[in-house]
Amino acid sequence: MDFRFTEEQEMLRSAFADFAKEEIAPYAAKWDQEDHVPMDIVPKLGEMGIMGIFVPEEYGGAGLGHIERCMALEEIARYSAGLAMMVFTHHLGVAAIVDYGSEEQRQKWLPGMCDGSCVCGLAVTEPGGGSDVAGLKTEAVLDGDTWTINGRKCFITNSHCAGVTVITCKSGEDEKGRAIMSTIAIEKGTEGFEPGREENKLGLKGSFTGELIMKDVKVPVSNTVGEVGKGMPITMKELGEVGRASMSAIELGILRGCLEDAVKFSKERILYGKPISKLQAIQFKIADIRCDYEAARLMTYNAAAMKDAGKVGAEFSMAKYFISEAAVRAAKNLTEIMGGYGVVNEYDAGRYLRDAIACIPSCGTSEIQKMIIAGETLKKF
Amino acid sequence: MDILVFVKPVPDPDKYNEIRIDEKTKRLIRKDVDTIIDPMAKNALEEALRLREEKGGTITAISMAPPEAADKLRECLAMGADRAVLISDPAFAGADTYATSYVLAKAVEYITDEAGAKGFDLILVGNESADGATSHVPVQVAEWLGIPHAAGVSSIEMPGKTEITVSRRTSAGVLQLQGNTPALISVVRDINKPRHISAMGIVKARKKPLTLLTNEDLKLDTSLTGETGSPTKAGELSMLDMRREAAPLTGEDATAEDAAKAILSIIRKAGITE
Amino acid sequence: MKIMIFDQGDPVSRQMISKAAEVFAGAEHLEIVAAETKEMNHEIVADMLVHAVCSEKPEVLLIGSTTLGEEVSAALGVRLKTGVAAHCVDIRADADGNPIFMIPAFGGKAIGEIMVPGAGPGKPAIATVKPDVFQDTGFTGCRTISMEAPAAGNEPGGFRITDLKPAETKAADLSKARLILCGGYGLGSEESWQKLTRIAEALGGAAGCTRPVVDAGWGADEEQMIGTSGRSVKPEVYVGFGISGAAHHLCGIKDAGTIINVNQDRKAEAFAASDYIGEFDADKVLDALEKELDL
Repeated sequence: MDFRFTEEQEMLRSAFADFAKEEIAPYAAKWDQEDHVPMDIVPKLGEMGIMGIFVPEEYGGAGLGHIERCMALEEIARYSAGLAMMVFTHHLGVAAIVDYGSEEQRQKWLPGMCDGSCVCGLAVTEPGGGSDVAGLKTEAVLDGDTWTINGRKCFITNSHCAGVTVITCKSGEDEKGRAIMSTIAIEKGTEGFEPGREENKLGLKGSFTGELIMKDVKVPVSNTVGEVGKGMPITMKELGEVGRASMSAIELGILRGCLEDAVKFSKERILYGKPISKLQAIQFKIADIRCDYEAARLMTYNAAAMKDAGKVGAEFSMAKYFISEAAVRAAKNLTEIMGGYGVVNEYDAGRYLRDAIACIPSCGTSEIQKMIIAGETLKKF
Repeated sequence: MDILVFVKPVPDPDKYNEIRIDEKTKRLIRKDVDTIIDPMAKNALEEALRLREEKGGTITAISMAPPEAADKLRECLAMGADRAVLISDPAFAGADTYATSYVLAKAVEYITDEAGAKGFDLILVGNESADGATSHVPVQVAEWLGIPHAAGVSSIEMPGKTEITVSRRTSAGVLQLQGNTPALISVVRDINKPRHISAMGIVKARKKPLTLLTNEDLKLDTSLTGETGSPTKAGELSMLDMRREAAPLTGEDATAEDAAKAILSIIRKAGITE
Repeated sequence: MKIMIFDQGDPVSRQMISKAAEVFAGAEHLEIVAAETKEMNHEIVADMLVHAVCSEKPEVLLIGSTTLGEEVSAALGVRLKTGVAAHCVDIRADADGNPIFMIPAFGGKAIGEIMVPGAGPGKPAIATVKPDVFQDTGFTGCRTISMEAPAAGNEPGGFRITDLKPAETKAADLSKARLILCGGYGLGSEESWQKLTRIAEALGGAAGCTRPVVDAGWGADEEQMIGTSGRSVKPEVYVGFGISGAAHHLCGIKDAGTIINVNQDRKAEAFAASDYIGEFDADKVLDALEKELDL
């Protein structure tokens, strides 16, 4: 059992970290303050190979796995969790096309998604409920070779910038009246398909979160991602595996930011004639953040490694639940370590706290995760 | 077009303030010191990549360094070099610029003979390294090889097959020089902005060759290499103590205006009039 | 003891002559000869100096650290099979009257001694010297020889000069300035840098900067860069704005009279090497200075 990265993975991590330090770190606070979505960095992310990191080389991707993908998200989120949200949501849609898309869809969309010219999205949540996926109401009616789609999605990341969005729709009912879903791709500019209101969020600023409105949107049946009627398992698989592993990596990045800033600040802040890092109360907080960080790291990359090995399990839910709560704890600890400076917007602690809280509802709230974890535990133990 | 790029691993300049030097051996305490590819060497490699994009050909990254430097050469492969060569042998250690350049020149002859090629068209190097910063090794390699050299170059143009036009800044202005390949050019930071290493580059680097050359391959007379072959000898090394009083410029709760007044007052007291 | 200086026609040549006279004053038969030329092609100058060394047979050769000087000194090292010490910040004589060159290492954090034990007449110990590290004392006991350009058709191969676009540099201002305002990356913007240059001018001083400012493209000249790889300066008053304090920059100003640093980053290394420190936003202090000076 070797828990270290390979030399090549270390080189990748280093390359991502250098990129983040140069292209993201100097601007992250500004993007947050101005709620500015940095679209101009997307082609650079494409050049770095991050946009299509797990896409096979033949379609323009880097052909790597989810460990490498999580590394990239961690390094980005260390400075800008908002930008990381844009990238991970893009990965969600891309994963659906890689895993279930037709050859035609892959050839048509993946190259642009890899080079950064096309941002992807995945839309599930509706005003009627996010946790209740089975209850969603967006309807897709198949008539011959054409889908007609009507409905409304909300809290959708990349709503205002996605070139292609994979939408989970109700496309029928089974004998018991339960909904049958299909995942259908809609391109930006399709008639009747429009982003609606844009949300002003407490955290994860610097990413678009908004409504998508479908009013008699007509797309060919060849836009179906995967088989007709298989939308539920496809959605749950991508959200559950790619989504939750991503959120774990993003929250891990935030945790690392909290850890590094806590250490730096406590070594420099002089009170009572010495750095506060000499005070036990501060040391205890730092020890807590550290343990959370190390556990988070192991859980994230364990889940990613499982995904790369083709295994599934509640590990994804455990990682997301544990790390999202830990990131909030760490950010709170950091603001306390920093005292007055912790609540002043010139410093990053406030942004880390807001971002950590804003991560929780994504890909399943903590309560949903706990239900999944309990379900698996009760069967296994 | 065949281009050789010399690359040097140096202690990370961002971490210079953490460096400690062993008083007895006068060497850097290398434990726990992060090394990076010397920044100007990256400019040299970037320039080689641009020339290859224009004219085709191959790029070989070369480094004379301890064996741990192999990962820096792999970074060069990931950035786009076609192959890499690490020259490493205890007999080469402790060399000054004269002995270093001698070994590098001999290695170049060995590598380019080995490849069966006529040689090389261009050697590109960073003008000075972040640690030693002498700027002498590139020039001296060219002297050993008997090829023309141009240092401090901030732009390179190759309109044809062998003609090179370079420019460099001097205190009198911008000088333009013309020469022909084969030649060695040392470049400065202004010449370009090195590209980021991408995931695709790292994947492609897996299949590219990285060769290790020791003195068993080069078979050099060891009285001419390493510390023995160095005409300069190092003596005492001392850390500079530049600490001063660091008194506060203003009182507590002062404003920027108070600071400005305090600064002007010091300037006027020194008798420097407006 | 014969010391040759390559005279490129700039102040550093006089500075090196003065230093040589001072350091080797106790030597038997001290002779200082300046070999001069206005030639700018490094191949031609290297050839000229080889000739000059062969005929004069000095034991020490000092060369001013310009791009030309560095290139030529390195080439001579190989052609004369001798050692070269780069950018020395001090020269001493050992007990036997042989030169010890002090050079900066690790970006100026340390100073090391370099000796050339195999040097002798005609195989000189070579060192390059940065401008303004030594002082011109007005020493007059130096002989000058003019190096001849090669006859037409006898030029060495290699690079030839095809053009020179004269450009005004602000380098000279920094050498003579009694006051230097220096801008670092902490200034934050081109606007701030321009403010600093205006204020420097109004106060009769010079504007200097660090490497990141040149890289940021705010209009600062590379010749204004202060540090061991740029220029060393010795103003009476130095005021740094937004300077973090990289070792090589601090080494470049270590002999300044009074050092003041303004930076809102209280952890800036520059603070420890300052006489006065101000924890303020550099840009705001520049605004306040503009106001005080009615600019």
